Amino acid sequence: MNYRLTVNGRAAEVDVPGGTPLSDVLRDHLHLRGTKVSCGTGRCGSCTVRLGDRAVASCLLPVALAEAEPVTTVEGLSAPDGPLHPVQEAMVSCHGVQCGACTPGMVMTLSTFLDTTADPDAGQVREALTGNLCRCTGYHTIVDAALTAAAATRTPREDRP
Amino acid sequence: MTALSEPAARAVPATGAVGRSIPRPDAEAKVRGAAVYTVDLAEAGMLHAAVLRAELSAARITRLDTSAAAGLPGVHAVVTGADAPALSGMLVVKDQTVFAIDTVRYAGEPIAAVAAETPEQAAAALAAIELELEPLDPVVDLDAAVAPDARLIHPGWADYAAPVDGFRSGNIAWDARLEKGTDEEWSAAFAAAHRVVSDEFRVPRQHQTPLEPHACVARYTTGRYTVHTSTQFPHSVRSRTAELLGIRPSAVRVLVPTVGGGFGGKLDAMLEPMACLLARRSGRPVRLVNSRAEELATAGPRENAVLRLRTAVDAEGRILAQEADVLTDNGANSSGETVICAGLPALALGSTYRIPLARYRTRVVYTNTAPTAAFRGVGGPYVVFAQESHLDHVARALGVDRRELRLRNVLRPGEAMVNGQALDDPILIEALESVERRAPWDRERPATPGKLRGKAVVPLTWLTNPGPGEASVSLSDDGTVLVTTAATEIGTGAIQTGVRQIVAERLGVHVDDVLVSTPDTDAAGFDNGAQGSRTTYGAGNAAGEAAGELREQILRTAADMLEAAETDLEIAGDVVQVAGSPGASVTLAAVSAAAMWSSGPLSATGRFVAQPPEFDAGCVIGGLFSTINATSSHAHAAEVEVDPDTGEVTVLTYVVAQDVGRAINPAMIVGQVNGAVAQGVGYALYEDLRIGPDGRVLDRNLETYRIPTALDVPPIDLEILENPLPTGPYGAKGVAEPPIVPVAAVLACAVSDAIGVTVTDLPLSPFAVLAALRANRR
Amino acid sequence: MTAPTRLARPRVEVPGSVDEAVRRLAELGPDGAALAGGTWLMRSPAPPATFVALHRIAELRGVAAGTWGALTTHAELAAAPLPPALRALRTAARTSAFPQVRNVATLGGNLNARGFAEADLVPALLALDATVEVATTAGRHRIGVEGYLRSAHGDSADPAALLVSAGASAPAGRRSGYARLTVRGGGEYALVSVAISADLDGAGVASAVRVAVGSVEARARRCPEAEAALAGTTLDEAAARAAGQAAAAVLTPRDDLLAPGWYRLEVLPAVFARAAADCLTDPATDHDTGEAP
Ligand SMILES: Cc1cc2nc3c(=O)[nH]c(=O)nc-3n(C[C@H](O)[C@@H](O)[C@H](O)COP(=O)(O)OP(=O)(O)OC[C@H]3O[C@@H](n4cnc5c(N)ncnc54)[C@H](O)[C@@H]3O)c2cc1C
Ligand code: FES
Ligand code: FES
Repeated sequence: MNYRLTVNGRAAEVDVPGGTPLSDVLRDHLHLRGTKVSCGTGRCGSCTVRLGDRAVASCLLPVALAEAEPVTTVEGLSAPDGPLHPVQEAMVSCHGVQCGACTPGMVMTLSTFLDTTADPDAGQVREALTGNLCRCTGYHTIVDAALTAAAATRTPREDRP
Repeated sequence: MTALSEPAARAVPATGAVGRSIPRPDAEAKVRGAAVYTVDLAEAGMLHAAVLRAELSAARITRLDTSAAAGLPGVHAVVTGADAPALSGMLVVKDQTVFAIDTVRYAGEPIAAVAAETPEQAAAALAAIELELEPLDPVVDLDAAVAPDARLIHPGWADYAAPVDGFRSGNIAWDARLEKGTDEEWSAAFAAAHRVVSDEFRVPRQHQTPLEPHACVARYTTGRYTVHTSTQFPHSVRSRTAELLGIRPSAVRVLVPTVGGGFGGKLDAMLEPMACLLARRSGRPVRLVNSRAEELATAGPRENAVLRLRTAVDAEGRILAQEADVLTDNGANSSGETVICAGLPALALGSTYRIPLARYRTRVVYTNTAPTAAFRGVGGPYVVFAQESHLDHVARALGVDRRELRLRNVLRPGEAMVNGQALDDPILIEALESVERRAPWDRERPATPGKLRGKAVVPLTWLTNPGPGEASVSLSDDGTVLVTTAATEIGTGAIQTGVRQIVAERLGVHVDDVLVSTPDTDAAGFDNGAQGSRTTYGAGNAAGEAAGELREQILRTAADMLEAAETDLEIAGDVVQVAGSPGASVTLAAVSAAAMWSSGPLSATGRFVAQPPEFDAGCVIGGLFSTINATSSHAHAAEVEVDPDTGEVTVLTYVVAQDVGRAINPAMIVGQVNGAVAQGVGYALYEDLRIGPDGRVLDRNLETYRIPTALDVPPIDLEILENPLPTGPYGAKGVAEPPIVPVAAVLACAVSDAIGVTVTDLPLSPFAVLAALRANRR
Repeated sequence: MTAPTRLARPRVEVPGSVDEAVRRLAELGPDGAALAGGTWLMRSPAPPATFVALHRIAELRGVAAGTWGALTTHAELAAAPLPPALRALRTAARTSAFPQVRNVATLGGNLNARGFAEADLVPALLALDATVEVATTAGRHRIGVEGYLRSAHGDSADPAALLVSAGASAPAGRRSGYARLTVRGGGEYALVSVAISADLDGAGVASAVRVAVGSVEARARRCPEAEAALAGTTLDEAAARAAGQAAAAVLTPRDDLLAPGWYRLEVLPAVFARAAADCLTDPATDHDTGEAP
């Protein structure tokens, strides 16, 4: 079957069975390997991408369900040679990254979360992260990054110190 | 795939690189999803491999026929034990083959591997392999395995080569003892004891669960194998793959892309030998990646253990003599570090407290289970859990305050550890005082209504892996500096920040101008791997030495150019200048160019291995680790609340004091402490890689194998203590491993305090805690 | 242990109406399955060859007063302005799983996931006495959720029966609540879940009590013994604990890798107390702390 997707603003067409996980399509067909597949069973969140305005686990999403809405992966969050998205920037400056295997998923979950929750507290950030496992950082610096990114996003760029 | 990333803005001044919390330069590629991991590699013509694994944990192979599988469409290679008969083992006992040959010794043991055009074809080929197994009785329980009538898992054990002499027999893969004091002293101590306290502790397996599973891509051309793999220790993969394939190590080239976590689980060859065999047979690049289920079932976890402690104390709770009988599970063979680390429990028992007389014995036991391996803090977390829980038992038995009991026994400067090695410059008391300042022991805070509250404090001495390593540092044509090393960045920041900051400091250049090559065993000499917190320390020392020599070369060349004395010159950022007169300078790029046709390119190689400390060699019998290198002092304190209705444990406060020697990059240290404490919380409260009575791993996914989420990690109040180590780079000691070691101990002691029962088993799941509460109520 | 990864790749059909979906499901029989969010089906070790995707069927979407289309997601339920009478459903949706799953998993999928003892919406809908609309080759009908679950999970389930929507009434004075227990702070299947619904009179005394317990047995079920224990009480903590004990006396718990059976029974009183407290949460002071979808 041919599926027409919009991924990171570009039209893409793949010929695969509709039950193929979106993660496989992204990684193996569209060469977007920033999306990681660490468990393949929906539990670790490293494969998180944005479908429309929702964060979803791409390893469990049949590609047939991804046609209706635009897909954004970590590669599409900021231009490859452009400035980082505030969440990406804060993950770097707050030391929210160690091995980085969870990082693309973390970044996608947090950027989606902050779109609807502009001024979260740490507890809300932790709740929002329950689907994203990290084995390296113990999460604290990732929570810091989310709060820092939220503050940066609320403050227009020119007003920042 | 390369770490030669273009530096970002020059936020950091040229000098004083050491001590700064610079962000890691590889973070940007990681947040963009641009970092390339082994699982991301693809090559033209690459085949997909899959492994046929034994379903039974003990069996005889009565039939194995791969001919039908080999003939299926898309299948390029099928390999079995017949293709790889050689024996190997992690440094010591050579008892492992790539595939099971005649006998299956654990569920999940490889029987055959296939490579095909697609994963689907590979799966179909596995299904077409004809295998018949005749079941044997699995030996699973540790005590049963060492019983005299136990079935031998390796009937031919005596014939296995072991380059190091040791005590082995039957199902005991290794027997290590530490004995201090004569029999007379021993009997006298027990006769004089005010109390003798005994306990038995049981701990389960803990899985490292790096988010990137084991993965590799292998190629074969004209007698050599090239393997890209997710490893912590490329030279180990090189030598072990070679030994398993029966070839010389230099025939294997190992390269390491970005690594998605290791935690000890990626120190050994695992998938690489199979991928190499398939690559050779097929003539094509071969990719092999563990599924999460394979990862949990077969990638060696922290070993389960049974610990029996018996301690004679005086009326004040001073330890007079201590006996320990420790059984640790090697699993079916010695492919992991469990045998090498057989000596560690004794050292962990006797490096924090004064143990005048000791009888410590650790037996590493074969069972029909997946082999066990290293996990951050090898040997430490469960030994310290047992020792501390046991000491709490002593304190309760004597009516002595638990903190006071520790103060009475803790080692002071000038004293020796149980192996007779002097404890250089311990600051255990300072560490205890540091946590005391922030979490006063006598502070009574009322429990939430309906909850039970408990607290604990634990001091700890821990070590830094002493292993060898070399690194080269060269000056590039543009004035940047390139470090070439096989030391591997696994996510800790030790290479990306630690080694780079050390080299920058030593040279006086911008840290942004120090680049580090990716590990390639053809390009860099031996490095002992990212283990035992050694990278900043060991690789940092080697690279620092090389940088020192390069600095001299640079100054020599610049002295000619500036017509100044070498001793008047300094490197400041990207120039060499006459100290005090900045006008007179040459750029490093110019120095590089000038050297090129005079002395030749500027470069130097440094090397390091820690010198073994003096110790009482007579007391260690069979331990392969007999001393503790580069000790550091620690204290952890915690306060917990237990819900008596459900057994749920909430960690309210967690306080850490850690002696790091010198903080090369404080933010990275915070990251290591946060991560280690989180893994320790998992070990203490949730993680339990369960093995069924038939020897099979029951936990197949991250639903039942529970690692902490963002909701489960307590806030951590850390004080970094700087107590420089003369032999460490700028005084640095190992940092990453120690903060996991006391976590289970301090949480178990706090839970015991809350519920009034000594906890003897990990994890402290709500089930275990509720069961303990109920048993106590009856 | 032989298959390294999930490799089955079913084909997907995309019908545009309920009737068409039902017809295709009938034709495919055991070789087909309705596909909603896919979070259950995509984890199946042996999925059918064909998925009949529901996402293009507009009729299955949408939340109206007291009625939710089968494709309503957990996140949508969590964010919906449900009255206090239906709080159990909101709490269940909100505390189930984690964002990535709540964003796609659906009510229809939750009620129909076979062998899923921990489905969070099920006990809530049982306690709310929900009814469901079902489409089959023989036409549409509306039945109680309890009866629906019995037939949908029974051995002779109709493979073409499609859940269209679920609904529950919310009379004034009715309150409901939900609680679930996990080992970690969240993000995992409930070890025990309890939903309570009751009509409270002016003095707060409960009648028409309905209680459902999930996760303990292989399927969530109503628990009349606990209902009797709560009737006539003010849903105070002591009454709730007694009801939990009454439930523990009649339930036959499952032992599995997530929890031992004895534990599921032992904690029932505590989880009942938490569910009762959720019932009594004052809607005025109940600040909306639900996360964003
Ligand atoms: C890691 C993880 C954790 C989770 N944790 C929880 C949790 O804690 N609590 C919880 O409740 N859920 C949890 N879930 C979600 C769980 O998979 C299902 O409960 C989910 O609700 C199913 O919904 P779905 O839309 O994804 O169903 P699908 O997978 O699409 O379908 C499930 C079943 O329902 C059938 N079906 C779907 N729609 C209809 C319909 N309209 N009529 C008839 N049959 C239909 C399908 O044919 C299939 O048999 C979790 C999921 C994951 C991946
Ligand atoms: S890979 Fe999708 S959630 Fe783990
Ligand atoms: S940074 Fe390694 S898993 Fe999160």
